[in-house]
Amino acid sequence: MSPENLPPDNDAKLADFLNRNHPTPPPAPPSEFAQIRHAIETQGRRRHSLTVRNLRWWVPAMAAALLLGFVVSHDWSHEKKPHNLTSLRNFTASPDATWVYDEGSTERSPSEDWQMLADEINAQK
Amino acid sequence: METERIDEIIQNISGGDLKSFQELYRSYAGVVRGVLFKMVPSNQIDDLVQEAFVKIWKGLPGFKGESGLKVWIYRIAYRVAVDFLRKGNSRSSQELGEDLPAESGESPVLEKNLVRGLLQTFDPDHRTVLVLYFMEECSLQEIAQIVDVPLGTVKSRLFYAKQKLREALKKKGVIL
Repeated sequence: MSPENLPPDNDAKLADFLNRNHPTPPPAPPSEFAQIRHAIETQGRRRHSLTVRNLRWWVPAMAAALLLGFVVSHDWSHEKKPHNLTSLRNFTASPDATWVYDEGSTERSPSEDWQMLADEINAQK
Repeated sequence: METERIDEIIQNISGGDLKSFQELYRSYAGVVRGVLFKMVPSNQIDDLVQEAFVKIWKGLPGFKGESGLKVWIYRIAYRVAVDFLRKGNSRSSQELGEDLPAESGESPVLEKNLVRGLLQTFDPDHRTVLVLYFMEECSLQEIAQIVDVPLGTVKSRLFYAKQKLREALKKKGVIL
């Protein structure tokens, strides 16, 4: 029987009876909220499971975390360009290189190294 | 509770504010306890009230306000009760040691026990509509939202539940 075809029904007596005999619950224990609070704190706040619905934000969040992890942990030192010729001295040790001495340095210039090497070769001949 | 205050409380609770949650608890504990008391055995109420409020705490940040807060809270209490009953706890009140009075007496306490005892013999669908419509004074539309069924289903369930209740009361000597 569809709801539209249900016979008319006088609820007044039933409603009155149920209102008069409305069962009332026993009072809550005084510590009820403390127990609820404890349950909330114990269970942790809003644990999210990895559902398809959550993937909407999990995927970009995970991608961002991975990228950040890579940026932080990656050794970028070999990618850096040298700032001045001093940094280049081990790589451009040619006789023609322009050499800038550090103040007070006792190191020889590359041209001196080349000269010493030439002298040594000549001496062995 | 005023709408603006409700919005503020929801916002605070979403941020993890337990003081605001306590305020919400004070306002709605009676509603939750009342519904559960009419739906489940007495010895389960404290546990189920706690379960309902943990669900409210977890679910409130997702509350979109499509239904009123009270309807939403009723819905959670209803689901907690129905989940409990469907887990094989849908035993009659006699089995739970809450004996029904043999017949309706003059005492209001007896009649209250009679109503509650009879409700516990009904299936959860009929029990729910009777409790929400007659005792919690929810509208049919609100019941449809709480139970998440079409309005026509609510009307149909209410019709048959009333019929069943009248018959059960008649057997106990109460003719309505």
